[in-house]
Amino acid sequence: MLQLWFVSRALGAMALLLLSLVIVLGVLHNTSVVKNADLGLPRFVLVALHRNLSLICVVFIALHVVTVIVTDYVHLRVVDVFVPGIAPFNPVAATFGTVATDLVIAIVVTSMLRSRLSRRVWFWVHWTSYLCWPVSVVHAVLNASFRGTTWWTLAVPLLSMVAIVVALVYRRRDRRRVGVPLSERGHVSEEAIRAVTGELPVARPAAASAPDRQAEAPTELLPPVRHAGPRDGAGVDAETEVLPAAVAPARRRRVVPLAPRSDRR
Amino acid sequence: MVADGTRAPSTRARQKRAQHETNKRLIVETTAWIAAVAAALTVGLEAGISASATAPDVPHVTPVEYQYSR
Repeated sequence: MLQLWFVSRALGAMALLLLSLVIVLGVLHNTSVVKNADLGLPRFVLVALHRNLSLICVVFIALHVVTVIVTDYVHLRVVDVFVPGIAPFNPVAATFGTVATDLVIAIVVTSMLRSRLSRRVWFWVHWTSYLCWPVSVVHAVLNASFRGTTWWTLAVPLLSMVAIVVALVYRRRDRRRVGVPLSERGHVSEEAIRAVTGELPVARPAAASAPDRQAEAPTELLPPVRHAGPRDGAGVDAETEVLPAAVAPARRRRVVPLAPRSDRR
Repeated sequence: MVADGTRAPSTRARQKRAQHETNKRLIVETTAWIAAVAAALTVGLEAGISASATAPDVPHVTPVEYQYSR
């Protein structure tokens, strides 16, 4: 059964690599990797890969846990795998592994019940994957045998760290939306107005800052327009010529009540 | 119009459908490849750990027990 212990370690290392790959896909799913047309990778491809690989990762974690329980060398019970801090062998490292396992189970269960949960609950539980991953890395590092000769397995958590850091830096550098300064928000330039309407506005809200106000030509305000009514018709014609379409009174809608249906049961 | 009375799909719709099928096949093939590579890497890791391990790498085992259990 000595080989089972080695198989368990290999499965754990591979589960960490797969978990890192799944988190990398999750980190990249809202970046230009899916929005850049040159890369040609639609969002649903990345999301589907994220989901499929997470299920494969869960399989590897389950096999890792089962082989650890079955092997004769660490004397773990089933309850030691799910309750943190009660493992008799290497309790600190086992506690990290137990916490990571519980977090993975929570993430998988909430993702399976996503349609029945609120988006906020699913979102917060799913974000614990950012906690699950470093806990898994600590579990892998603490379980690596520094007294023996298999210290080279530390390359696995190192590779995982590099992958996650690169993905996070890419996401950070990839600005998804151009930030608009607070002072510029709500301000529409005259060029934009001219591009849409083909003409400059007659009147506009006050400018935001003093230099802008000085640069602008003084705005000519139109006199208030009186609507043409049945009582004063002749005196209004000269004013309504200025902006006839904009100030035309809305036509009142006639509401005709329907007769009650006689054949209603 | 096609024979059953429905409108024939446009060229753009046909291209989009073909691209969608390609993307779905990409998902399945990539998943299968990664699963296969993961399984092969697990076997390789197990072989590497088994080849380079010594008695201190196995918990609760003395060097003599390790010699006999290998």
